Amino acid sequence: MASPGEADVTVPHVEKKKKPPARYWQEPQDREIGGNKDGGRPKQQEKQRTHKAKKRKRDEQPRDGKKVISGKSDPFPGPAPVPKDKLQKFKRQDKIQKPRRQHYRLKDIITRSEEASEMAQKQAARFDLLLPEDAGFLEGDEDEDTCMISQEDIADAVDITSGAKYFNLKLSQFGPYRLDYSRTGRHLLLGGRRGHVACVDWQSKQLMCEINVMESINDVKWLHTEHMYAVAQKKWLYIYDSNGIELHCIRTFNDVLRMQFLPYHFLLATASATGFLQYLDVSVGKEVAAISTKTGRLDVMCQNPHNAVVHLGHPNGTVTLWSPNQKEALVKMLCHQGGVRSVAVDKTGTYMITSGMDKKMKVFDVRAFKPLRSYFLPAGASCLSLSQRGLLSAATGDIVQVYRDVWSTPVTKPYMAHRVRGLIWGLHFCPFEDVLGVGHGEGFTSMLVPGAGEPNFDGLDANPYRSAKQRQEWEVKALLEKIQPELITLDPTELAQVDRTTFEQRHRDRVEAL
Amino acid sequence: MKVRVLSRNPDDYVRETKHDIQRVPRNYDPSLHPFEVSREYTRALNATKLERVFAKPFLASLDGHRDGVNCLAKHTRSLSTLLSGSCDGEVKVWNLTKHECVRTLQAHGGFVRGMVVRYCGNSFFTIGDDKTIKQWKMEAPGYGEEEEPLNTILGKTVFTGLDHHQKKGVFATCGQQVDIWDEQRSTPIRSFTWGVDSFSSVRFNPVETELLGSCASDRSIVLYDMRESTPLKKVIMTMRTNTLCWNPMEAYCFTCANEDYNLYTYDMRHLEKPIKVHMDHVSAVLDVDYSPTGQEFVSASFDKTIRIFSKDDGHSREVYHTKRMQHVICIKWSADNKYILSGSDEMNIRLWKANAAEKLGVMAPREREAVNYSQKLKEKFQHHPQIRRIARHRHLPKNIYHQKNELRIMKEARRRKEMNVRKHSRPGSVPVVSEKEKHVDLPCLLNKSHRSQKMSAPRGPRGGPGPAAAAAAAPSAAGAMPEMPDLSHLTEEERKIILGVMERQKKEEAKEQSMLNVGREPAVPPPCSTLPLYRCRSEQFQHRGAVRSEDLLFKVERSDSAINAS
Repeated sequence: MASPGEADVTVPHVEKKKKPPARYWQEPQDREIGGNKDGGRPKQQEKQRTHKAKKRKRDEQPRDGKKVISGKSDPFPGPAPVPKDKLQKFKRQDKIQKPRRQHYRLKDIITRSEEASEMAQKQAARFDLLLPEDAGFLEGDEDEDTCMISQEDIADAVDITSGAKYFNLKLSQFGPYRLDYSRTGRHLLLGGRRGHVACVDWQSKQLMCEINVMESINDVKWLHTEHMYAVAQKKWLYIYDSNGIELHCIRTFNDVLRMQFLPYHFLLATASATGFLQYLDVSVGKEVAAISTKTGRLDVMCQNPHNAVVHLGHPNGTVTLWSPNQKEALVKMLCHQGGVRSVAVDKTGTYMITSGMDKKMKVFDVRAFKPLRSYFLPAGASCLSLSQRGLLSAATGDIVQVYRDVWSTPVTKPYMAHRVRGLIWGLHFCPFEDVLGVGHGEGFTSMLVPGAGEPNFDGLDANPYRSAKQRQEWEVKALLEKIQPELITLDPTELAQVDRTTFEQRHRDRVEAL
Repeated sequence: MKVRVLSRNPDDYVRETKHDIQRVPRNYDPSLHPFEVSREYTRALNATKLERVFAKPFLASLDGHRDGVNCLAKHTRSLSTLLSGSCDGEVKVWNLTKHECVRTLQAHGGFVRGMVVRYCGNSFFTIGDDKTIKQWKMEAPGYGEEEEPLNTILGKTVFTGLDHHQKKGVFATCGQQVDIWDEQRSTPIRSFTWGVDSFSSVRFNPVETELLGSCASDRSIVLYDMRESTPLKKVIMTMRTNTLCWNPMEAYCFTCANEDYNLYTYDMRHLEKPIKVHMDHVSAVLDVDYSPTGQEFVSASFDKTIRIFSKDDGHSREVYHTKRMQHVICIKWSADNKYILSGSDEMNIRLWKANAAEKLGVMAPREREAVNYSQKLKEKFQHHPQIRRIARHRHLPKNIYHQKNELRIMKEARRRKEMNVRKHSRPGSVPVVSEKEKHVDLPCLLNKSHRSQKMSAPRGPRGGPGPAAAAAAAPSAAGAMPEMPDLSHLTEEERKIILGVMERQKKEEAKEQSMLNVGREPAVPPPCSTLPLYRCRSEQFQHRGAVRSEDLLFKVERSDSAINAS
């Protein structure tokens, strides 16, 4: 991963050398040495810089030519250059335009903060080069389609631990199954249509609990830890713990069809058959908002992980965007000619992918609300899921298809494909693993999708290897910085920006009043 | 087929033994950390709340004085030593770490008016109401030895203020005039007067060490250069200044504590108007001291509170008060920038934290890091209304709270009236006077001799003339209006303005004088030595207050008569 980045550096930093400062006592020697050494090298032009800039750059400026005790000069003087694309990855904002005249203090503050942020960017980019894991990949030989490679072949080709991640659970009695992976990717929650709920530590294949709720189940969802999960049952919403003990039965949430958990807000968003979108704060157990969408049965739902806005798909082909602060939809988009069957949003919050009854799969830029691409799938996709690294899986009947780069290049054939036993009911990529979980009529299939998961996790955010103590500490910290539901907006950086419009409006009002 | 699947070795991610610390691999990719701004905001909000929870500024009270504490002095070399002088002439030396008094000496009969530690830290000077200047050794006398001053100088008049030079064996006192003393001599090497009868405080500039500033009772602040024979310049304000303190970092700036509830920061090069007016006190400000960083200063007030101001902020960032603390007479900011010491009327010295929520003692590196991080967050989101509301909230005693509101209403009414007057008069006839200019009576007076030296120097339109030499020569004529400036070089308009101002002043003074005479008739307080200082000060205060209310009455009468006439 590191090598392509380094290739981008245009100026080879090794040759950049400067003469040592002239000393009167060294002059004759220096000239001789200089004559011998620097004969072939063109003279470097001296850059004119202001004193301030010089002072600022002093730390980065390599003291080249300075000889060490061994007599040799450092072949790589100064700090290593940072590839530009890596820097770009950590860039938060464009530079602020400085005020033109006066405002010396403000100018100074801006300069300082810019310097600090640049340094932070550079450090983060340097750190990025040192990350230990690389992402997976799958490449076919010549004339070999990657989509023709079977799961068995992949499982044979990779190491044993990874190979063990391809498995089938034959659960034909209570299917079809919906599923959910916990945020760390260690735990799997399965909910069978006919009342079977199981949570599994799927990597060690350890069963945590298995119950039958004796009711039909519409959806299952992990809450913030692997100790609690919500089950949308026939009538009401239930919360169980990982031992299968019923913690709550929430009767204000009835006929729930789909659920989404917003992990940073501790909100459980539910969409019901009666057309209600409800938000439950799971940290205090209060209903935050109940919105009547007035659009009938809501069985297509997903969240935008970038701004916590909930997307709902409707039978009339529209997708609506909701926040708990507004009784009306933030945005209504007409996406399909038939009904919307499934919606997925990528983790940067840029692209939304929808599939409809018109057998089309469309890619939208959800920031500008513009269609980007449209694909025709002969069978139509019933479920969609996006992985952390942007792979898209679509369920067409009993076949799972995985696509790569759906938004950047027009795709003609899938990256991978796999046929499962029954009709596919749930589809979910496992975070931080190259695994796609498929829930279907005959049970559950965990399939390998190389290149799906984020290779390097952040230990303070979601750590698959955390201990009980670490989990407890994380829970306390996460609860402390729970984001209030009022802060859910389309643009999550809005909070850091200056509210000019309100100010201008107020100013105008004052002028009018005077 | 080439294939690679993510496969982590758990040994790289979990600790080897339970004695190790847990491994925390990081990835700073922004896409793995959504809601950056909202989460930081929440953290900042929590940090602000915690700061208010942990804000416990009061550390200790040092009791032992048998009368109100009149002056404090910091030791120049030792952080843990504090000297205090009380109204009964007693001086105590305190050990601040142990919160105990290590030495007591009866320095003067009557008040200890001023106290200063010599720059070397081996001795200190005190002045008192008994007209003496005494020099004392810092070490306590040995067993059986008498507590004797090293040196005693008997002055002609009462001294009211004292300060020592930063580097030389020279000190300054003030009283009837400002005197510069050599430590070796018993008579002043120089005396400065500028047409006033008494000074309340004198301070050496800590950087430009030959410069002095003093506050005089004719509402003026006078600056001197020790190397010259006459004062440099002065500014006359609308009300009297009690003390001043130089900024130790930007030594051209000083802040003065005024009787009109405000503090004023001046640039000594431009005395036309203050560079900042610091408001928030609801009674006269009695003392002020800068922090060693020069970024903040602390003020003690007659309203029984201490306030901390940023040097370029108009309002205080912090207010300290307790139920038992009475009028705060003197205040000091400790030399390590961590503590504040206040001496008040009810005989106690109080030790406060300079940062109310700061944790004292040694901090672990991670703790320090967390504190720095939350500090930065608070700074970043300080303007968000929710955070600002929590950070600004301070509980105030009921009377101060009400008084503050009252003052605000009065100010607002005055502003509204002025606006209405302006609205209904000829455009330009009622000029807008900024808050900074409002409190300055006579902007900047240069001394005559300096003026003659600098005749060619450009002078602003408000740079007023100096007093005539005759006025300077006859300081006893102070009281009414001693200076009759020569206005020959001014234009007609300027002269008119200045004459107008002086006439107004003269009127006011006359009125005040008559008021004073009227007020004195019933009860003249005896000049008793046991009388605490605040009573003297509050007496002045009552005069001030009386003048005010009388002023108002007068105005009301006038308006009545105007109504009658119409």
